Amino acid sequence: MVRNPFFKKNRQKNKLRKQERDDFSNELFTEIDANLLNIKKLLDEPSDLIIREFKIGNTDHRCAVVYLAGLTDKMLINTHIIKNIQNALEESENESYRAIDLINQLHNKVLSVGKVEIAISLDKVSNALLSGDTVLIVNGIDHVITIESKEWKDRAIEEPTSEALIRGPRDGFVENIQTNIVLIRRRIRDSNLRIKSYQIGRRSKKDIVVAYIDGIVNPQIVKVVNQRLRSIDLDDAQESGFIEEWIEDNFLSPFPQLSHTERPDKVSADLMQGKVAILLDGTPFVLIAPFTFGNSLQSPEDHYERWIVASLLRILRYIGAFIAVFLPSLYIALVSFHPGLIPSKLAFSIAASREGVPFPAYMEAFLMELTMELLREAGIRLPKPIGQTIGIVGGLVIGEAAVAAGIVSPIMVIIVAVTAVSSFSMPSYSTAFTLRILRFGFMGTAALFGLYGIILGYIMVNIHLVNLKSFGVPYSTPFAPGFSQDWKDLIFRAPITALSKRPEYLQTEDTERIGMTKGRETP
Amino acid sequence: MTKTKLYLIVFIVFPLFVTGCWDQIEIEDRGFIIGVAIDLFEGTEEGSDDPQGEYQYKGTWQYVVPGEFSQGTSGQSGGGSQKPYDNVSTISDSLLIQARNLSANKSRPAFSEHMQVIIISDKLAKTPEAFENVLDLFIRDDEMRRGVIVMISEGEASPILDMPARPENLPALNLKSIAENIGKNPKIHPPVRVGTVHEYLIGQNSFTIPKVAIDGKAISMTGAAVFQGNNNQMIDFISGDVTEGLNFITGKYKGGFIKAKVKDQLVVYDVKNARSIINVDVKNKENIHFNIEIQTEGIVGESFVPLDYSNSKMITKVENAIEKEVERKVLKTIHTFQKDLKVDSLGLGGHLQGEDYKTWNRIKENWDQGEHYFSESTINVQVKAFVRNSGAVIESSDQ
Repeated sequence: MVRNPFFKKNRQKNKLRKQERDDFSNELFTEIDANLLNIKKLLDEPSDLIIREFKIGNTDHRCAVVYLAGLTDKMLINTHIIKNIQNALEESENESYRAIDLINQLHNKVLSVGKVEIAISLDKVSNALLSGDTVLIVNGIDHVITIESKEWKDRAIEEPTSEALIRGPRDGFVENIQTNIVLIRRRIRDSNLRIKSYQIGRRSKKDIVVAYIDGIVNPQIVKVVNQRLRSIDLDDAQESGFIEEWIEDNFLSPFPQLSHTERPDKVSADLMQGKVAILLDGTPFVLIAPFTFGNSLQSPEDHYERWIVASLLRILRYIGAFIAVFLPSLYIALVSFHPGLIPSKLAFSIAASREGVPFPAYMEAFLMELTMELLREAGIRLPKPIGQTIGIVGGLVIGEAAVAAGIVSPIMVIIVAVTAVSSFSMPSYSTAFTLRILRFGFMGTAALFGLYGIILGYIMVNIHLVNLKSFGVPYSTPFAPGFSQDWKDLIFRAPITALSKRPEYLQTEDTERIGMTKGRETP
Repeated sequence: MTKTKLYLIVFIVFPLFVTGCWDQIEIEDRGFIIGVAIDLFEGTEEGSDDPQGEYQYKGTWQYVVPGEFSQGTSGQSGGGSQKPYDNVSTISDSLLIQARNLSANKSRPAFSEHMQVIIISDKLAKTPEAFENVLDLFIRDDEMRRGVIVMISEGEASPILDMPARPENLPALNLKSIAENIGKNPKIHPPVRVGTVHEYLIGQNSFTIPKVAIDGKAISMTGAAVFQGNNNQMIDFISGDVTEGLNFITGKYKGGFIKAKVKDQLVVYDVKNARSIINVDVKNKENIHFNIEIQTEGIVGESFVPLDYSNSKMITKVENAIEKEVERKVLKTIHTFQKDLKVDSLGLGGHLQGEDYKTWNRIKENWDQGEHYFSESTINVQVKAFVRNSGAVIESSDQ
């Protein structure tokens, strides 16, 4: 069946290779040379594998330090491992050291490094090597010592580009999970902050960390998160998106059921509310579960600005979301089906502006929305200096030219522009995506049935929304099921002093946010 | 997903597309009708075997020409070489057939959800049964809105839809805007919607409908047409002054002015608010008493005599002069309706009905017809005027 010889040959070869790997023993031997040989064989003698053999102190016991250059801290290996071992046990003239005593001596007295562990299988050894640890093999004993010596080049902590704020901390997560944990820990000095780590990826073996605050979080949510994380069986998760898609409740839904953020302040705020954060090594995007529709229109800034400003901005965002979803479809419905609903003079000027446009309103709208989406996509792909230019060229020139050429009406250009601006005002990128998908859906129903179609679509979306759950929490809370307390921080943002309770919809263990003894002291 | 599920979705979703943009007509393909003027047409349709109605009507339907309209409003073309509207006249005994006939003349199908005014000529309104027959389409049709304003024209109706209308540019819109100026000029009758006319036609009470006339080269909307309630036939026009009094009585007075003489000099009272309270006294069944109490609130708009308005006595003096003036106007209106027209368009019958239903039932047949109890009844008028402030002038030389 397969004509290409590449596939045929490879198939046979792959079979052989697999056989070979299965035969490979996972044991460690007492002989140092056998161990070294096995390690070399396992990793296929890479050029960055460093094996340094020497003798411990002035004894005759052979030992070897093995590590991968680049992943490790050379200074640490040289001064705290190799130098210490070479100088160790010098004063002792007693030569009746047994290998097991040696290991204990090294462990207790010689190695001046924090994290030192004993490994008893080759798997562990390769895992340690690949994650940047140093392996110390001593002759005559069938287990080895792994010494933590990770160090690699990291991006510095920078301001998150995808979630810029006017007011608020400027630090953002980086690709290193240790740094990310530190960023969270620095914000929450609570002994109950739990950081539980797993390894994920059948091959890549990435660290993944679940963080939550014990005593606040609803244990049910933690249980579900852990359960789902344990079920992950991927070869590799390059980004937290893999995790998100694996553990979300409904993969068919256009609505995101986990939020992702680059902002440590947002994560700490959510942990304090009783949510669970999932950190993955190698990506600055941290997942937060559960996520509800109300959350998607909230920005961290809502709590940094004063409550009046924040409330107004929230309302503005709700209006923006409505416009981003419904404006083009309303235009189609009103212009093609119900011109009687437009104020008379506006109806006449829309009719005048559409005079000579060859397409029906829905074609016009689809064309312009498509152009807009293309421009947006192109703007992301293009190199930064050109990106802005393309935005201007696309937005202004194409719009203007399309109107001049009589392909679309000027009103359509306004509508597309307002819609685009509204969808950019969404604080969460994934929500903006959802709204874009819904927008096209509504445009379709409007083109078929007018306002009737929009209402039908709206009902369908609502049915889906109330059915959807995120880690057991209904997606549409606190709208439905309603929690009147949570409305304080939903469409409006009540003053901080009034937000005395944690969100009721999360059913947290500790419900009080504000101590009841002392109120705000007014002068 | 199972195959059954997939088929189910296909069979549910695909029929939606079969409907294919049901009812879709693009906005630029619609012929917006914004006004219609209906005249009585002398003569009969010839060469038709169809059943004929009693009268032939000439309907003048005003279409918007959107392109010209928007140029006119943006002012780019400097007035526009062509009119932003297009009047099409057709003659038929049925209004619906007229509307359908339009499709033979115009490329764009008529769309009347944006209709603003219906103008009916006085001649037609005075013809028995014609008025209600003509309005039937506008009440019955589902595309017609209840908010369309009805007007009665003095003389032929169709030229009114061709009067120059700056800056609105559309005569029909212009008429509607003028009708809404009632807050500034009390001689204008408040606009009457088709829905209200429907009520009038069903009820027995007499009613009034605003009048529109061509006054030289401009449109004048002062005055109203008075209709007899039982046969829905127009009786006569009333003047702007009588309309003002009518507005006072019906409580629809929105604002205006009263000229009064104080110390032989003119003081113009700017009415901001007015209301009327009507009480009925039915002790004497033969002579029913109505007490109309009118309260006005306003400010001194113009004062040609320097008066000291900080003095409350002076204010009272001015108020008294105003009250007399209002009373005179209202009494004149009452006289016109009671003695000249002998119709109760003041709504007094309704108040009687509310006060004493039995008496009303007994006499309603003879209220403003037959025995004319309305004309026999006594109507008292009390006016209370309040001057709320004297404008920005305080100092004055004369006391």
